Amino acid sequence: MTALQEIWFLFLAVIVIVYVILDGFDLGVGFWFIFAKDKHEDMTLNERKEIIQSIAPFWDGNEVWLLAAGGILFAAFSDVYATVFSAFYIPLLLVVFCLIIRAVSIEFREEFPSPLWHRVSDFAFIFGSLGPAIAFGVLIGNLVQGIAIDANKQFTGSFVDFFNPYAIIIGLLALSMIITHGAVYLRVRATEKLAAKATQWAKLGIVSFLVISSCSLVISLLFHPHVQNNYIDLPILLIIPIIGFVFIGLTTYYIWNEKDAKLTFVLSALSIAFSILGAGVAIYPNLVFSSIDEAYNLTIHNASATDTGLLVMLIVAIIALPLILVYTLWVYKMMGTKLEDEDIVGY
Amino acid sequence: MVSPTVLAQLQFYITIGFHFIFPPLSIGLSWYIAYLLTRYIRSKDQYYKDQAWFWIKLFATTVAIGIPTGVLMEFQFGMNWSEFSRFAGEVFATLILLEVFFAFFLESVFLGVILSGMRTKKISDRVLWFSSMMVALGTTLSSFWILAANSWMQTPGEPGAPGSGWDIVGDKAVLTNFWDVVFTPSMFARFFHTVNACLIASSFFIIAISCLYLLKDRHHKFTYDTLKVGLVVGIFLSILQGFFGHWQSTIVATYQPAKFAAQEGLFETTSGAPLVIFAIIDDSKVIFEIGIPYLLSLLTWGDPNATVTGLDAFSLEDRPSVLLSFYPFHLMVMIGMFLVGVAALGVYLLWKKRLSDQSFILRKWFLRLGVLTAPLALIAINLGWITAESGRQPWIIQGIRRTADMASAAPGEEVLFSLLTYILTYIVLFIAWILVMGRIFKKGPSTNIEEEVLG
Ligand code: HDD
Ligand code: HEM
Ligand code: HEM
Repeated sequence: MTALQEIWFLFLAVIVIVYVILDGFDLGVGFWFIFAKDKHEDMTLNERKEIIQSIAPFWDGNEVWLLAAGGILFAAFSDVYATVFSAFYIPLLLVVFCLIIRAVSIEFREEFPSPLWHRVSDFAFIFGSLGPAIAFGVLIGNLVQGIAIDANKQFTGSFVDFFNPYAIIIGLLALSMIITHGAVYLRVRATEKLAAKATQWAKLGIVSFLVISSCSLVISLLFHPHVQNNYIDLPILLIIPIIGFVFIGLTTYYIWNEKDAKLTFVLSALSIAFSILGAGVAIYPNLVFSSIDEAYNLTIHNASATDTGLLVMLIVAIIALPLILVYTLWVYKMMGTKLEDEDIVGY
Repeated sequence: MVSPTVLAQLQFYITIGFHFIFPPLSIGLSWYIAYLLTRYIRSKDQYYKDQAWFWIKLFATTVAIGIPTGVLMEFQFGMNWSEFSRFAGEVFATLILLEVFFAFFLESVFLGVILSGMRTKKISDRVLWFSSMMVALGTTLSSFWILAANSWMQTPGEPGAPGSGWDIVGDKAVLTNFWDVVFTPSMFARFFHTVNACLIASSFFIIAISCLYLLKDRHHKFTYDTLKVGLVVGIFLSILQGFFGHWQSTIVATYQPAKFAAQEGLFETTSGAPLVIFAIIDDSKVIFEIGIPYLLSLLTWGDPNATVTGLDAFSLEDRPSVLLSFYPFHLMVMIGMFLVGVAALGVYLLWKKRLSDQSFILRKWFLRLGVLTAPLALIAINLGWITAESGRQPWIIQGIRRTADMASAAPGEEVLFSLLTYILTYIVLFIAWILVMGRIFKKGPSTNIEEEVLG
């Protein structure tokens, strides 16, 4: 056991958090896309075009955080990557399929004016945005609940096992989290008219999130008591979920009272961060629970790369991440200004 | 039922082969766009910016497919090759992680700037130029890291030996020296050969678009300027490719002699081996061949009488498929020479001002030939990969682990199902790509300069 494994666990958590915060909003807007009109009453604005345009500069960069999380699993926790990715073959196939059609629908939507193409492309965008969110939620639900992993770190179950009530609730939790976040994002970026709509959407979103998250918290504590162990051993850690609850409360307050849009977005991001961190503390040091025997759990200690490997990756990450953050923030600052009506008619 | 390993191999080939239609064009076009914008920044001549926008649109169409098909590749190692991932993750995926950290982020973040800027036209010239540089850098770094990963699979060296940079502990590959793993013996040759191939494919893509416009008699000024750049760069790089290819071959002969024998169609170890130009073969024997005596020995070892190892030096279960190595390899080389020929002809016609001479009867034929070169160059790239990958068989990591032992335990039906899903999706994507490019082509570059008809 060395500190490097703990550091990489933390790094993984941070990358996942950044991924959910960033890609969360651009996947989340896919849900509100359903309710957005293709042609606005006054015929000059097109809400769906506007939604696409609001995420157009960022969605690809955001998705790379997913590749980073996958790459870290692959390099630092190879057993987890190998076991989980081959076990979740069909759900991940769905994710990949969704990401492909989604990318194409974003980039090609405006290339053909035909209404039929718009219908196909819009369906691809909605399905392609919501599919991954639900699938990742289901995946995490299963990992926490435990999947059939044997002594050889091999998955012995079948993919039908994944569709169980607990996993589905976590899938819905992920969905409600990102749709709220997506609506909050639209409030910041969209033109006044759409932002006003998004304000109402955010209210719907946060209500669904509060309901589903309370349910899943209770169910997790009741049916999967192993998630309490770390908190019982070291109660001071409870500070993390407590901060999380405070941020969720503040976010709700800000959304409900239609406070400053930018600050709401920051609060929403912080709620996501502390929720995930809280879950991370709960499962540590396990990455995947085995439903066959606790001894077969994949942990950061039995599934990790050697110290040399982890050290090389750490050096790489320490050099790369600050650079990435600098230019990502710069681009967000430059491209993330509030949209005006004429921007939408523009292209 | 076909074995899941074979299905997984087929799937890997189809998905990477499809992915690899797009990055070559993005790599080359991104540099071309950066070049045009640099000229624009220097001269402030709107003409260059208009040209750049035209290529940016085609580039955007290409990356829109290149990116998600690449994301799929990233998932596929774990989904289909879980035992490979389990064994090699620490070494192999460190290089993939570097690609994510040092290439994908750079490329994707700045791509967003360019694509959005393309639609709203709201970004400043300097930002546009800077972003185009970063994207070009990103695409090239991306190929560096992925090729380093592939090169390690091709020429990993002896585990634990000094200079190999890795070892096997328990049942896992572990890293001992990072730089040794990055710079394996085949790394540089592969990087130069492949990136050069990408630039070649893009040059001929540019040539093909120009020829299409000339066939349709449109956008003359733009077209002649573009054609000139394409032909000059194209002929230079495609001649250079012969040298890089030769370098590759000597590396293969040294480190992967079984692959070398298979790609040259050499069944028996021979001294003074001939270079086979054309042959009819199957996996076990030569049926008919034409070769140039002594040339293979001379080219490979610099001595016409040198001995070249043939397939008979390897036991049956260690031999790659000759069919899948020999034919792709020879076709690739033939296409390479054909491209040199077309480019040379083009440069000559351009120099003699025959291309703008409407009365020149062969003009149309040359232009058609020019259009053909773009798909051919892309096909050559895929053929090269087939040579490289199937020549490595039956090994997934040369001499270390066999492909057959490294696939996932995922049931055959799941693999088959995903294979069919991908094939269908890819057919649709390819059609969409062609259609969007067609529309952009029809709209044409919005040059402010009067369209003069040269005649
Ligand atoms: C436009 C594309 C293109 C063209 C014109 C050529 N190649 Fe190539 N070739 C490739 C595109 C390519 C590639 C895609 O870049 C490959 C696949 C794997 C690799 O490393 O490069 C490749 C592989 C490859 C290999 C196998 C390397 C290995 O096993 O790792 C050899 C020996 C050559 N090439 C040699 C040649 C020669 C002698 C050429 C002659 C004139 C030539 N290539 C033209
Ligand atoms: C198994 C092999 C490969 C994997 C796993 C892979 C993975 C990926 C991924 C994940 C992306 C999307 C990145 C993003 O979101 O921006 C991508 C795009 C790209 N890849 Fe690949 N790739 C592979 C082979 C290659 C090769 C051999 C090259 C070049 C030599 C290459 C060059 C590129 C480039 C230039 C892009 C940018 C998108 C584009 O230009 O179309 N890739 N690849
Ligand atoms: C871009 C072009 C590429 C093409 C066209 C290509 C083609 C192929 C083909 C045809 C096979 C199957 C060979 C056989 O089983 O006979 C294969 C397998 C494979 N290649 Fe490549 N490849 C490419 C790039 C890469 C890169 C860049 C990597 C590594 C990063 C890679 C890693 C693999 C792996 C892991 C397999 C599966 C195991 C195997 O069958 O060898 N390939 N590829």
